[in-house]
Amino acid sequence: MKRLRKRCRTFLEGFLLINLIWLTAHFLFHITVIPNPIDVYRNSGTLIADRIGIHILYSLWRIAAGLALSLLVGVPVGMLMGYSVRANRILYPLIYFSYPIPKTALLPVAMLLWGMRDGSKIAIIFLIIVFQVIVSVRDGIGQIDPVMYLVTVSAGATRAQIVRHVALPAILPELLTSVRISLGTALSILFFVEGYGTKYGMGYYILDAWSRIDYTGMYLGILVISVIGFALLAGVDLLSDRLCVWSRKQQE
Amino acid sequence: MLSVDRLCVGYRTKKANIPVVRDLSFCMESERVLAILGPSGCGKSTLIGSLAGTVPIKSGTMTVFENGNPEPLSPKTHRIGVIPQNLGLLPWKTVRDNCLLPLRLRREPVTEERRKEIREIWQALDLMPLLDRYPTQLSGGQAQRAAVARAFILRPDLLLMDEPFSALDEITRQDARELFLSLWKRRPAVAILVTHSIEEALYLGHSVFVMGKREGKILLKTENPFFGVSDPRQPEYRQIRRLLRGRLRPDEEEDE
Repeated sequence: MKRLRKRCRTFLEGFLLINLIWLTAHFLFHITVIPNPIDVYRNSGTLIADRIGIHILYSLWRIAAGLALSLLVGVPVGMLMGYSVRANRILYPLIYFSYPIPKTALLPVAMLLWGMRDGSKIAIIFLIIVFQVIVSVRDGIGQIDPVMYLVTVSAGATRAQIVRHVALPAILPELLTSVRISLGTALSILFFVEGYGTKYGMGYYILDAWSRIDYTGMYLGILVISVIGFALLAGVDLLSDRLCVWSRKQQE
Repeated sequence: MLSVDRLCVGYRTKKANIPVVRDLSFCMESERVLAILGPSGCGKSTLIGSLAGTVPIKSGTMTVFENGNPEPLSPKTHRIGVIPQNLGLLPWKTVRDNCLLPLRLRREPVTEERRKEIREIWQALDLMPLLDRYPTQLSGGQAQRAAVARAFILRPDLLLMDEPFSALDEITRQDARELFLSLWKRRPAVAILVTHSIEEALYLGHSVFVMGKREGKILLKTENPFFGVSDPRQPEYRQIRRLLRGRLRPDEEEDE
């Protein structure tokens, strides 16, 4: 809770500062592409008229689907790499090599394989998040103290029980950290993947306003995305506060 | 009764098989504590690991005799309690959940009688006010008591201890040993205690082994009449202590 309040304050401070810079830039450059922030806020009523809620829901659904797929694939693969030397030897070079590839460059492939609609959009978000998840799970498994296995195996634990009682809780804090980082990336990629084959989503909203030279609308869209981003990160924080009480206590 | 017969444990590198324990045999009557003394890196922890089922053995047998029936030692069939050097409490579980974990893993039903017994163990170890804490919120002594509670709550057939008191300061350590002894006396199990301390071995072991530096060879086996005697002053005590200390010296390597 304390962390959440701190995060809120950080957000508020950042928000004020950004607006200040924005306002200064507006008066400094005097071009239409930087409108007066006050005008933008005054126009925020148009968001309701544009039914911004639907755009937000579409974007959230795409991110949620990409994230869920990444966890579904990334956690087991990361565990396999963490526990099996052989699997790690085969998969690690592959991961290492494909990690720095800009995933958006694979968009044409994704489009051909999964179509222009949600399929390719979710695939790109998935590709961005899944590597982070795999690497953090693998490293998390490697950091588990072997004594954790001694006390559970000696008590007759099965493989599934070890995953449930040792591996999953041990990797959770690191996993949530990597999810937090990749959520930010996924959000910024919306701008890119929602630029085609859809009429909904925050990325579409911004691009659409831009192409109509409606700079006020464009900035409103950007503001909404940043608020969504803040809410998602705060959500992950709250979740990690709830699930990782034990690791919080250590720091206090 | 526990019988270990020609046990060989080792690990394999790309070039060679490196034996850690070779042809180790010993036998323990039930309700006895065996203390094993030895220099660092002599294979004591490997032995504990093999008995606990985490270190695969290469050859040999480990057998538990119950009413004369032999049964190969296995974590699936036998209740094995372990108190490792750093206590091995899972950081993400409270003291209560840590203590009950072995029962949960074995899917043992917690009957009313069992619950009473668990409560008694917690009370004896002064853990009642600490049950909802996480391991990181415990002092060294408290964590040690939690690990002891976990081992006894399981009603172990075999109790394995790998320097369980070494992380404690001198005063807490003596208390912890006494506490352990009183618990053990009420629920005696076959127990193996690995330790660096001669005094500890003589206080808590019915018999004492000295392990050599190479391949887990046992250099000395002795019965110990001073089990549970807190402050022995007999000249025999000094004698046995001198004997053990002499065998623990590192110059043992020459006479191999």
